[in-house]
Amino acid sequence: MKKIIILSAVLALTLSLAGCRGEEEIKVYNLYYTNSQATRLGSYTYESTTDDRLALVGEFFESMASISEDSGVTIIPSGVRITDLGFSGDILVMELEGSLEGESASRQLMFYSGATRAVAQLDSISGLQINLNGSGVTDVNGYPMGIMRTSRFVNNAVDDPEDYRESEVSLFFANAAGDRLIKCPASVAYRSSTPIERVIVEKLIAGPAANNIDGAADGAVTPTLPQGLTLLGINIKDGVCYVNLDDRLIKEATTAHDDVAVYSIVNTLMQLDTITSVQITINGVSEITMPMGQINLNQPFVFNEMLVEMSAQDSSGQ
Amino acid sequence: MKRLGKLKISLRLVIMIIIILAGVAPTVFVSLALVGSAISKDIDSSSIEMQSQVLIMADQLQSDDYLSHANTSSMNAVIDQIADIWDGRVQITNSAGRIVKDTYNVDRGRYNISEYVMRALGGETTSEYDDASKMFAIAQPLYSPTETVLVTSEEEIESGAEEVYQPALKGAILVTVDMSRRVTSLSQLQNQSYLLWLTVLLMMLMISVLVLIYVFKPYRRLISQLEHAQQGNADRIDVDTYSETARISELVNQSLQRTQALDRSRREFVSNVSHELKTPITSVRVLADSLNSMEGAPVEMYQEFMQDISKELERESNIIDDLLSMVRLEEGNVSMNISEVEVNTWLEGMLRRLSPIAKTSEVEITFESQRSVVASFDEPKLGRVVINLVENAIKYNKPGGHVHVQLDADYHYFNIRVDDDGIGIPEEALPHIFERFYRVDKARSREAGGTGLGLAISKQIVNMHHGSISVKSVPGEGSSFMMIIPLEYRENPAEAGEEDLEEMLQKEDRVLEDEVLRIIDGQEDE
Repeated sequence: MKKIIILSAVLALTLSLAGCRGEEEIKVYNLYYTNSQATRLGSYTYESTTDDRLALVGEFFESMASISEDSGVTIIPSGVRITDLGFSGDILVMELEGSLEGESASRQLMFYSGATRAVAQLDSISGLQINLNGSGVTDVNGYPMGIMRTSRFVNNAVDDPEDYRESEVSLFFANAAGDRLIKCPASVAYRSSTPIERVIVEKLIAGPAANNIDGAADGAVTPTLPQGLTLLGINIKDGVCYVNLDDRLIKEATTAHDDVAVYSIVNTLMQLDTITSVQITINGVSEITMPMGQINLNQPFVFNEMLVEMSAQDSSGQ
Repeated sequence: MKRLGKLKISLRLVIMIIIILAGVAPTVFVSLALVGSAISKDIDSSSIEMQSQVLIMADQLQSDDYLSHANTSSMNAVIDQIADIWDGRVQITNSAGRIVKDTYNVDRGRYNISEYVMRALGGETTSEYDDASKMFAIAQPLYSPTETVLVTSEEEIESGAEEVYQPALKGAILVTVDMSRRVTSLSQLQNQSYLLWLTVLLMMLMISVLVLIYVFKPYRRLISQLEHAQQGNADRIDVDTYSETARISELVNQSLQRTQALDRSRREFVSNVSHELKTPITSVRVLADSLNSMEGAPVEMYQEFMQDISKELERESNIIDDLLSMVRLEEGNVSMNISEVEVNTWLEGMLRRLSPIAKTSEVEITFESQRSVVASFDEPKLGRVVINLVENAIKYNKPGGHVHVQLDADYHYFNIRVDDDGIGIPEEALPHIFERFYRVDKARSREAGGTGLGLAISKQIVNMHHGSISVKSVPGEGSSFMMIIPLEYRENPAEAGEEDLEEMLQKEDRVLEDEVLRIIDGQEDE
């Protein structure tokens, strides 16, 4: 109810001030609430035509403060109230008065994460700083929160739609002839619960076309691994990345050049800081010679520069 | 055959579908159930194992007071190993929710705001399998091995309660495992099932075809034999392979026999009728021919012969009349003219009319009645029956013989009995005497002017009244005919028993009244 009143008030105000300035664009935002135990962050939609970021965040917090009882519980702890909102560059600074003493860790986190996510929706805002009685807030252990961005808070137990990560990685596929590797930049999206090393090997198996690599369609960039190949396991220990694949790597080899297949995996993985070398096994066995007789898998591999085809992409930077 | 609108579905198709389903359905069901239960069993047992592992690890972390020195603890290697073995992720947060250990090494320093951790920081242990994301998650609080906090509030202490301490909560551990790969490989079993289903389907198809060919042979034989029979080319059906076909054969044969018997009796009837009709004609012909061939025959001869011809023509006419009555009665084309009749007077009148014939045959007729009887029936028709019985009794008698007619009644029926001491009827003929054209002694019957239809017509009429007629006889000593007729004519004999209570009582009254009157008047019939 209050939402509608606010909305119509703003609308009326804007229209009356602006005269007939044409239609105002209604934008939809996500705002947050929590449950009574403060263990879960829920979201609801909020519509506004306000353009000014200060006015808009004011609306956000007013809406979140006055959430109705049957919808949920406000994220703003009862011991504080917002006295001022202001900007320092593109950081929103929120002044609070009151006390957070006695609030549980989860209630504080619901407040901080909900507020941060709400304001970070706006492109013009990159972070949130909250001050209580003049000084920056801390977590329940006294650790200062500082400037909060959405990346500070993770919800990675089960699938959280807002928790998908996107990374820019380099995938090494083969050239048209299949005898050299080409370094292809790609953007991969994955659940934060999946380790990045697994993600990039699976992307490699999917092939250049599935990753929207330029040149895949006309055969300039070709896959190095058989499509049905299964990654049985991947672990990093003491810098060594152990990659266990099934035997399709041998039975359904896509390239006549074993070294191209092997180093497409090695070179791609070596871009991760945590990896210093790569050990490949097939069904757990490392004492295997690849069918073309060029490589034995019984030792770890490192980045091979010689197999990489130099191209305009490479020389223009990573 | 089953009709489905205009389309007739063959039994064979139905059986084929049943056989196929009987094979495929269980296979599909079992394989689905097995795969489904395999998946959930695997997840369940994995969950249980993981939960106990996490419990053990939490205990170890607590004894180690891990959260006080997370960076340097030797537990880190153990934690990494467990995460590897389960192919999952372990995160440990401090009491503010800040991640101090992450086996993926990406989220250290961040705050874990997932519900599991939030609840663990409140002291709750949770473990859950989320089917949508195929993720298994366990979260547990971690306590200090040494530090404690006071739980009882100040007020409670002031009112005398004991101080209760609890271990201090230092943080939480969260373990997440992605089960989707395990689930995927199990559901690959599903794909193999499809191949199995296909195999079973083909197998059942083959089996059903073979079964149908072999099992249905007798039915095809039955059908072809029936076709033959219908065209008149066969007298019998005989397919006794199955009890069903044997039964069908039996019933069809009975039906065929009945039709054949009917045919036979029809032919017999036609031949009998033509014979009967021709006989008087032949006599007339003979008489006429002999007259014609005679030259100068005297008038007396002509007169005699003409009388004979006249008699024969009358006989012919009687035969035709009887035939017509017979046929009409049998077809049911007759209406019943019910009227109330005082039976005593009625009988006496009829017997009086028959006395001339009796006198000519030198037979004495006597009538005896037990009581006064009033009944409703079709008077002309039953009259015909009485006359037929009495005439027979006179005809098949010897000079000086006797015919004794008796009338009696009870609450529902009245009966008329006609006894004679005539020539009687032989035992083997008794069952047949009510049949059309049946005559024990053809010659005698003809002479007596019989048509052979009298008793058949009588029986028909008695049946129409829902009564009964029966005979007893000793050859040489005489015969006794008994007809029993309901007092009230009822069209539907099923209702015959449902008499109005009032009517019944009225009838009883009447009978009693008559008894009393008789006693009072001192009347006794001779």
